[in-house]
Amino acid sequence: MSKQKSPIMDDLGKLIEATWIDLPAAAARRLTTGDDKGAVHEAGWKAYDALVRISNEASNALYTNRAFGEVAGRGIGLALRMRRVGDAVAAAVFGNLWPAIGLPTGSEIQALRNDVRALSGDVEALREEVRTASVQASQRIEERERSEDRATIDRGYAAVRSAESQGATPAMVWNGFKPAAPRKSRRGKNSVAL
Amino acid sequence: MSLFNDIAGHWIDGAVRTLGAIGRGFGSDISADPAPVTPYDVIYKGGKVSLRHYRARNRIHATPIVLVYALIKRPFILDLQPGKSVIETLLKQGFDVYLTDWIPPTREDAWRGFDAYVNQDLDNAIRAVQTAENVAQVHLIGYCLGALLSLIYTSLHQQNVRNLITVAAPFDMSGRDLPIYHLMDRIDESAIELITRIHGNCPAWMVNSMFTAMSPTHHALDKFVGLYRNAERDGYAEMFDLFERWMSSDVPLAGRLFTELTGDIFKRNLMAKGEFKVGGRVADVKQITCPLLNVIGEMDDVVHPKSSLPLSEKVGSADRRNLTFPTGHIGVAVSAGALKKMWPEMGAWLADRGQVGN
Repeated sequence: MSKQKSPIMDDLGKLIEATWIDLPAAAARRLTTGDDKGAVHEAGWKAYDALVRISNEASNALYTNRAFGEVAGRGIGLALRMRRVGDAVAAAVFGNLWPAIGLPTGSEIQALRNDVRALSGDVEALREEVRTASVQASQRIEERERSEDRATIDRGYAAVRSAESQGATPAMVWNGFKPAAPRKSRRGKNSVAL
Repeated sequence: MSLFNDIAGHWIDGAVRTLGAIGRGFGSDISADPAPVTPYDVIYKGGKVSLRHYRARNRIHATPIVLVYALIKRPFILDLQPGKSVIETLLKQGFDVYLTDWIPPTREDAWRGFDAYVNQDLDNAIRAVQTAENVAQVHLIGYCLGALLSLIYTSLHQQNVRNLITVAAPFDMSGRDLPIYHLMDRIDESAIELITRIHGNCPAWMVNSMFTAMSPTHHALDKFVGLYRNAERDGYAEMFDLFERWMSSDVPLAGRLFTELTGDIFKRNLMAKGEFKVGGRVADVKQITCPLLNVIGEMDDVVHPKSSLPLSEKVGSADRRNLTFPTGHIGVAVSAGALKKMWPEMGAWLADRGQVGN
């Protein structure tokens, strides 16, 4: 029964082959013929690839190693516990020391930040309200002006109709409408009347 | 010397990027996302989800797709570049797509567990789609942790789902095929409890560290060497930058969800056992009766294929299938092969089952 080669041994074999056979052979060829640079590179990369694979296999072997796992697992747990104790001690010491020397605590700064954030939110909301109110007001003004104009025109038509029914000349009846003042010519004095 | 200078330069860039990510709390700032490739509208925002709507130019299918993204990292990986976008691929097939963009939780959200994410946020999002589209059911596609959310949602709300596709679903966590799983086994639950007591949530840097620990050599050196070796390839450097941006876009995991995920799903494997309770109800995949397509990356080193494979045997659906593809965990979303073959196949599978009665 043949024993199967482990991947790490396989890669080790490739590394030895590349560094002890391929590389010297390629270097010698380059020295003698002077034109085979590619072969040296190829052998170099072959060695590098084998080295990377060995390194991967080694880290894999380390992870599967029970003793390493125990140490790493306990180390992580210990580091976390120490951190927790450190946090608790720091909170206890600085929690009392800080206010004594007149400095604000982290939670006070956080509260202040929250207050500032809330205030800026309020300001933004108020700004939005003012913006909306101003738009609504100008809409209302426009609407009122439009309805007043409509009422004036309606009154005029009514007056004309009543005058017509009484046999009067429509042009003679004033309906209360005041036409807007005529616009001045933009050109002013330079314009020429033809 | 150019080799060492270039690689050192890339390495320093990477270190600066990581420090920047630590400084801003990784991906917790949504505005740090790159500009979207495909335009969208946000049609619903509530709880911790913002629902994006991507419209197909030539819509063929009446039933829309709801794409449930993972709670880890930002979703721009699904819409990375023109021609390298899952969203674009689905739109081209004539589907309207809705994507869950999970809002990073703050300390006040530490109470949120699977119940809040599934029975409130995801349920509300799907209700918003039903209302907007005037449809009774949607196609659900879940990716990674999003696949787990989709599984739980479909188990509890089967009537709303026409077809379910899970991509890289962490379902059966009984195996210890990935080395990192062994390490996680050694971290006891009191330590997990302490993380949430100290930080409220599982911090983004911790999530990022877990990913980095999965392949330390790659993150410390090999990816920068890879950038050097592929510098001549068209668009590689640009893609590398975007990808790195995504890798450092981790978001915190809500405290309760983190506890449930590590304890109930990972350590006790309650989901595969059909005993995981969400909001007082058991989320048993036997209750899933709609067609299921279980997509698995053969080289997935984040969710091992053996974690996803048993799903199709456990669901109650008559129409169920595994689709394996030679790619890794992230390759299912960004590799050229997956976008060219796998996602179109998924679209075709949905199209075949789009009509009522099929």
